[in-house]
Amino acid sequence: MRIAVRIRDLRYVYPDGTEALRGVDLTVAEGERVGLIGPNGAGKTTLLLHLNGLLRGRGDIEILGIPLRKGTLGEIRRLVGLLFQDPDAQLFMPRVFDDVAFGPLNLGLDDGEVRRRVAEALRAVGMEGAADRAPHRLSFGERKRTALATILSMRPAILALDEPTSNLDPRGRREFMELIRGLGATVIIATHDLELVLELCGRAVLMDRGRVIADGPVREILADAELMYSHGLEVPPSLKAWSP
Amino acid sequence: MAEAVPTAGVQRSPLGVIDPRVRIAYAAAFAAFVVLTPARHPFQFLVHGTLVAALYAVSGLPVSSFLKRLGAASAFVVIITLSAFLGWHGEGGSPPFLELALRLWVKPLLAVAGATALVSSMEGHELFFGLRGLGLPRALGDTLIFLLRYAPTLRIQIGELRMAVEARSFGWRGIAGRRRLLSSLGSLVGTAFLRSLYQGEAVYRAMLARGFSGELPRPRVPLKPRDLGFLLSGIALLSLNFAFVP
Repeated sequence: MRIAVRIRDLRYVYPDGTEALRGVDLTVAEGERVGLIGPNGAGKTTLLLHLNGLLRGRGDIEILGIPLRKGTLGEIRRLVGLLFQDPDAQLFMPRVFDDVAFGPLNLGLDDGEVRRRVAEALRAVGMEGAADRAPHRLSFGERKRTALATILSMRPAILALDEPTSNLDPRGRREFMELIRGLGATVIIATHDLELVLELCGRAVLMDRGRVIADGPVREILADAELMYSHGLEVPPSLKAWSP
Repeated sequence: MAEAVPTAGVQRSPLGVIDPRVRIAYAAAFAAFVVLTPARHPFQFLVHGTLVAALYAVSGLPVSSFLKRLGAASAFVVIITLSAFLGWHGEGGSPPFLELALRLWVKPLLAVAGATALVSSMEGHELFFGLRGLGLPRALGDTLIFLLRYAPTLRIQIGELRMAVEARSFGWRGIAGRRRLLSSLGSLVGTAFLRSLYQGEAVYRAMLARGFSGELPRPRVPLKPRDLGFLLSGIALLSLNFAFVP
């Protein structure tokens, strides 16, 4: 199977001296859905920001065989769609249409193709009809979905999602999960929502203090109570209910 | 745009479907024609007034909103008119009332009313994208676009901060209370400033993640025949009114 993401010995220190990543190794196959779990400060978000080249640490990153460096940044950003935790950071244009069109226009696509992609992305997230609305007039759930549309319109091969279900109500969360499930792309989700990981991902990667602590089948990792507790996490209630 | 992206729920007035660039350009042209029309010919101002009424009728603006905008913009016109009358030192002791009224009151009022009907019927983003399309400097245009997007977000954040302050305060009475209020306001403004800085950084990252390279892109929107028709017929009408005095 083709490798979508290959990370070798990735290290990153923030300007204030915080060591956020301390030698991360990770390989994700194409089409795989991986849940990145861990306590606050584990380095999950920092790792996601590296996938898109927004942060540049020491170590090697390859996206679909393309090494991440200055010259390939444009190509990498086309391949990796990054969804931020806060939709207000992602939606910066005064109108939904312009926000969803921002990425495709930066790709240099012609106007007709841009409009097609905007319509398609908005339809995919159930926001058709919102093209002319102002983002600040949308509900939080609508803003989250629109934020996802802004990356879907670029048709990325890999989706890197940072806390995609935080602050969503149960219905919004359910809709979001169904949406992600139907996409068929390689998905890496950094989240505290362990039930989401359980339902959506085949594999879980547990991070703590900038290192990968455990990597394996989702049920195996999430059901390991000792492992979970020792890294500030808990076994999800649905797994507790089924355990003997 | 409308062909590919459904805009259900957005009701456009007959004037609303005209390209913003054309509406802004026509507002400027209308103001110029009104200002240049000699104050000796009241009939021409009657035609201008009729045109404003027609523009207003097709703008879809509610009467109250139109009058509110007009009232705010024309307050200064009244002040100028009054001061001109009070300070008149021309020959004959009193000014030729009609001419002065046309020059000082009717002209600015008509220009403002025309611009209000043409521009107030736009959404904020249409106005800024329209101005950008007409050559507004990129940096200024982009700044206005961000301002339009983030002003409400900042307002909400300041509201939340204010509530957080009030939830843990017990009145601002007395000198000590006023001192606490001032100190809280200082912290609030500082925190709002820091939050907006962080927000700015986060937004910039999101922009970079989607291939931003220094300029806000915008799809090219060619002018439609109806836009050109509106502009040309409007200018022709103004020119006729300007050229032929009854």
